[in-house]
Amino acid sequence: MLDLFSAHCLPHIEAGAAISPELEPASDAVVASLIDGAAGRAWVAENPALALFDYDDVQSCGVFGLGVNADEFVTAATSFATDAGMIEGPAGQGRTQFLKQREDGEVTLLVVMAVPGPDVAALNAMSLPAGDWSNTVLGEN
Amino acid sequence: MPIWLLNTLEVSINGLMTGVLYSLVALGFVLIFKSSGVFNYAQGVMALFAAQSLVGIQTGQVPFAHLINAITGLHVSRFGFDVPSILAIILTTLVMVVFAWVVVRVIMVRLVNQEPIILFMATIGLAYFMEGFGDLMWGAELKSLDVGLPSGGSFWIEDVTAQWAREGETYWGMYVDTLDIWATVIAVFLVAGLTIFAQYTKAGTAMRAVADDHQAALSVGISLNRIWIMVWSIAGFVALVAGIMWGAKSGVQFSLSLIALKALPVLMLGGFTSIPGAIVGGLIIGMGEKLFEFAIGAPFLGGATENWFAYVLALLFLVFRPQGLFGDKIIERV
Repeated sequence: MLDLFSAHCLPHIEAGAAISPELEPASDAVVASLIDGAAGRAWVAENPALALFDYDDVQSCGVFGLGVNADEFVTAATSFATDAGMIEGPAGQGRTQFLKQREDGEVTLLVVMAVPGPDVAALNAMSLPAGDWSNTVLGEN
Repeated sequence: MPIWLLNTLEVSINGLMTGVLYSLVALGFVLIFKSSGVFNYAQGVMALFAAQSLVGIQTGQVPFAHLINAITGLHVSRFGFDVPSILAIILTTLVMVVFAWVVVRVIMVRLVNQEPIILFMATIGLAYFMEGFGDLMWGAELKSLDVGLPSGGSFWIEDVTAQWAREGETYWGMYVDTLDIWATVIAVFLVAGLTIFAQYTKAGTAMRAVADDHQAALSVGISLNRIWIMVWSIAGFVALVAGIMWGAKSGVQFSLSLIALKALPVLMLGGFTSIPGAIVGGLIIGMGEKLFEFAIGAPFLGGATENWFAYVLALLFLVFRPQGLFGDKIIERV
């Protein structure tokens, strides 16, 4: 899941480029379920329990996985984010966020979500203009 | 039952029903604050504007008639027909949706990521603009509002409760305004509807996601603009309901916008982010101020304690429990 994310999602978001992975486009049902009416596209990975999705309206993309151990995933994703130079931001219910200041003045927001019961997990990256919120988070760490 | 107990019960019931009306106004504040972090100072003026629009549409008034007359020299005032109450309410709701769209597109979108104080100042500006705009559109004179809800004391309640007094004691029965009863019923349905909407619908889930975390919601493709327009529209509708209830009681005029001031202690008590808090806070304030006036204010303090009691209670809460009864505790790292 992290491999898929780091190969297709994060570099494109940070470069501000559109994502066009050589993956099989997801069925309409999967697209509808994953991006829930928003404008965007989705692809299914070789492992059919993993899907990559990309939104058109916001510069955000992510991976979604089924049958993922939530605790192990959060540990792995935290390590991945820290290695990528990210700083831990505010956490919410079943969610951890990381931020990285980029040289182009924008920030990359990484949202790690994992739900233990149904064993689903998602990792989202979004490019945002720096603002009070990100300055506060980055400044406090 | 002894007379003093019946009187206390009557005051409590009337206080609870007044509290429901406070809750209605507070609900509008909570909805917008939860979803966008904006303390909407204009909520009271929204109630006034909604009530003005409702009366204007209902009575077939020509919008901006004063302006049209001043520019063209004509003497237009009415279209010459009345609009049924239900249709007028639907049309006014549409007016409030358009208003929500304009507010979000013109103000909110341009102030994303700004300090809360800047957003607050923007809503102060919005409040004064709307006040003037409403007067320009519909006229500033006092208007009566009647959407067909019954009003006046309930004879049935008076007759039933008159028999509750002990033998030998004279008691004329409880005075409960039927308009207040209707307001309570409508408010209960409104709150139940809002709760179901927020908990069980897709749009409601998206609204809660935005309230929980703007950035995370945005990262999963939820459109902040769409949610904000939806929330401001709902707040506009809540303002309309509050405007109808208060307008039917005391007429549609400038003072209607001041009901927002009554919602502030409710918010301090219930918390700025909690829908149940707005309801419970309203009930406590409504009943508390009436009971205090009845038991202490009128007999010992010369009366008129309703003007300040709610604020004193709210201040006590601010000192001992700043997040209110149900609000989220805010912890800032230093």
